[in-house]
Amino acid sequence: MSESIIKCEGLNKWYGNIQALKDVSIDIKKGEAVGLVGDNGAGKSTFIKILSGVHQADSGNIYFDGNLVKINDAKDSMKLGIETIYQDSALAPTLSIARNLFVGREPLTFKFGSLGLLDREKMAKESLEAIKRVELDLRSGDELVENLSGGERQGVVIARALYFRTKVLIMDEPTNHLSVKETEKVLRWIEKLKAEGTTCIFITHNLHHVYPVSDRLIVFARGEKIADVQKKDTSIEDLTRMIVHD
Amino acid sequence: MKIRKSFKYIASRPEFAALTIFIIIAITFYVINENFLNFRNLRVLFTISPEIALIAMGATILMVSGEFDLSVGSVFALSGVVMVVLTNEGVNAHLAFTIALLMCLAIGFINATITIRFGIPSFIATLGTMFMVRSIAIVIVKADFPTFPMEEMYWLRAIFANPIPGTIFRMSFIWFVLITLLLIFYLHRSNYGNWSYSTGANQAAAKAMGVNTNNVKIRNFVLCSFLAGLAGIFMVLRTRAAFPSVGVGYELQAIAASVIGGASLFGGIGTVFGALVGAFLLKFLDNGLVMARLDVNWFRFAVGTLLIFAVVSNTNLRKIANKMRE
Repeated sequence: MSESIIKCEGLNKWYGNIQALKDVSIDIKKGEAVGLVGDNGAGKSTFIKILSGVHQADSGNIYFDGNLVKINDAKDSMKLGIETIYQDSALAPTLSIARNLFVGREPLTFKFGSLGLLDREKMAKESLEAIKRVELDLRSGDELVENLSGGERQGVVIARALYFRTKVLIMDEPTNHLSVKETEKVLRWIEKLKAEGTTCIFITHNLHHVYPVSDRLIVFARGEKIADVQKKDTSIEDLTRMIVHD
Repeated sequence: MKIRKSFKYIASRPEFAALTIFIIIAITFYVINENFLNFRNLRVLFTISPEIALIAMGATILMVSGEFDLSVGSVFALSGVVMVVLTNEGVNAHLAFTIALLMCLAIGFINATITIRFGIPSFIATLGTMFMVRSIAIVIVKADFPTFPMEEMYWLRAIFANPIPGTIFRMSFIWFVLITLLLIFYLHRSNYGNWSYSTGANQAAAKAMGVNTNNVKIRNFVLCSFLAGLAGIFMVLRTRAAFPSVGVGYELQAIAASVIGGASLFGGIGTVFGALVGAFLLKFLDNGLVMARLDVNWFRFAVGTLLIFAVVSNTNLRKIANKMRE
């Protein structure tokens, strides 16, 4: 593996008297697929929220692409090329695929201050191309997201990450609530993301969901990183033992 | 296949259902009394309908972004009262007009601030300001009716209220058309509109995509209040009287018009055109009952029926349209 994309050193986070993150250092390489596992309250969500700008660490440093960065809000995180998608909250169901794809990053034909005229032609054309890249069987970007299956929705999210050449895609339980067939599809898309050089980070409490696509697994417990292993050096049994016993 | 596609298009766009009902109502009242669509009555209809339509369009845009404003009826009354009272106190009429509108912007901003800052439902926040603003309107005129400053208001009336000779329209109608076009651009063709929809449909998702959802809501609260205030000023200039008691119940009519026009109470759904049709529908219905010499007290009954019918049919049409995958 090559250079780091995200490198964290000594992250600490307190919520009142509770220490949610204890001196966490993680080094994630470009193009890697990392699974963050741990029980509820283990600290994995706090870690992700710091990367996506929802929370700020009380101490510690974050380097992105080798540069020391401060991530103060979701916008900062997006600007760096980090996209975080939470379960069921990545898309607006009553809007079309095209509108969802471009929310916050709309192509404009005319701009006055921050107000601009949508380039609807481009939105229609490119959303169709984007969903074709993930082999979604949809004929137009006008279809409403609420009409899509869970798997198709993940497809749209991944299409969006591919389209905007997201550098780091953080996914919360990417295959939760999906059928076996759809799960396989999602896993295939994730392979595609990796092939295009996108770094993927998954958070899950179910190891089986991320084990197949992860290159590396990091185990959290009580706010600490208790294991950080390459998949080839471990097994599901070993990891499960670690999560349960700690 | 083409018919199927067109059906899906219409079924998923509830404003067309509202438009159909509107046309049916217009024809029915015309059949009952042909004076319903004569020059004089059309002039009445195209004078009063735009005023409620302005409020309804603002309400719809705000609903699309997931919030309500119940204070619009009170703002409708206050803006005109402030303009007239200030002018009577010796302030230049155009300045008074500007101050009144700025005050509406401020009320919208206050509504947004209370809702967002304290994280309370806008339904409650604006119910509060609805009472407060109404109270201010009544206190300002000292529970009396202020005289209308005819001379000072000459130009404002010429610009915003006077009938356009030989037509059924008043000047306010031109402004109404202009504003409608701007609102259509804002909600349907601009990035701000896309942010409004995504904020109302799934605030967390919009936030995660870097949309400043608070700003989106503030903007729409301010817009909604501004449109209500402007409508109030139009009415005062037209009727040459500023009553602090006007517009009671307009907030609910505006929401009814929005919903009849297809807007969802849960945010993320609604169109400017739908609000417009909904508002015209309500006013045509109101006026039509009078023209048909029916007891006008049936108006509320009719609105209620229409509202329930609209929501039930919209929900079902949407379900049918959604099932039709291509």
